Amino acid sequence: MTAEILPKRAYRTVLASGNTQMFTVPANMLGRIDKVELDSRPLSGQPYPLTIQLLDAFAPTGGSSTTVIRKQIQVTPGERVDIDEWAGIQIMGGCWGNTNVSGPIVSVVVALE
Amino acid sequence: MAIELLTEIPSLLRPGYVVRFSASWEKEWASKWFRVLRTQQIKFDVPRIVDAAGTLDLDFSAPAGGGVGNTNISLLPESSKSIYEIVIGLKGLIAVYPRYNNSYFLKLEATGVLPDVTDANLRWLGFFDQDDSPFAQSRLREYTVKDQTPPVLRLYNQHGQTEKLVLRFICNRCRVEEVAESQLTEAERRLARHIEHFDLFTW
Repeated sequence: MTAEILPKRAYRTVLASGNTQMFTVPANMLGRIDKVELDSRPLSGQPYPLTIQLLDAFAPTGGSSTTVIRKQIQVTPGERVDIDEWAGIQIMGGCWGNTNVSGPIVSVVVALE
Repeated sequence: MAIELLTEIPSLLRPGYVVRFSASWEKEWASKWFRVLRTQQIKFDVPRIVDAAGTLDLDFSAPAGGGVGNTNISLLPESSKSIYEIVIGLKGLIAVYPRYNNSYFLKLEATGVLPDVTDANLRWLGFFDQDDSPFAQSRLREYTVKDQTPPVLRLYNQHGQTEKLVLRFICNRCRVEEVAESQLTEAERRLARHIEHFDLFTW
């Protein structure tokens, strides 16, 4: 990963395989997804079905609901794709991400408001 | 005790300012003049999650046993010589309806024209949102004293999914002492901050 200038007060996290806790948005903040990027250069072989799932558990604010955003996408090894339709999604608390592949394929940037 | 939406960011009471309570207040305060002796500004952020189409009431009184609870935020003074001047900012997509004595404060005069979150038309009446009083540029103001009827803010999530609202309360805690009207100059009486009671708006 190369150095980059992120939006003001933003986090970038790369999902490893399995569940990765990415962000705990502080109770007095709201977070918004700035961008979600797939970088499939670590993969090889045929086009690959990739599943990404985000869970928002509102942990710091005492809420109990969990919102799930889920997407399945076919990626060709070597290509880079942005999931534009996830930009702007609100993150209210603890956020977990989960993919079905190993390696630094999916990265998410969340900006605080 | 009558929430106000101001057109600019309000200035807070400072030592030396004079306030006057309207006649509807409890007898310790009604129609009396007070001078502010000391002030302290305390910021209190209150985040709440509200389910889709759900409501949550935030009561300014303390919960049984004291402290702060999910629905009680302890914004009434404990001392009979204190006034809380509270400025409220909002962040999040949730509507806020002020209530006193178990009824909505902002309503029109025709029968039945008052907020009702279960009614598709009336839910858009008599509420505040983050555009009215942004989190960092708050324009909603409320005053509280000890043992008063606690104001209640009803939070309503009109959206199809769970939403979060963060309320920023800037509590200007004022120590006051009563002054006789005769001890005040004409200028002090003219410039005094008048603190209204919600009863004043029932006519």
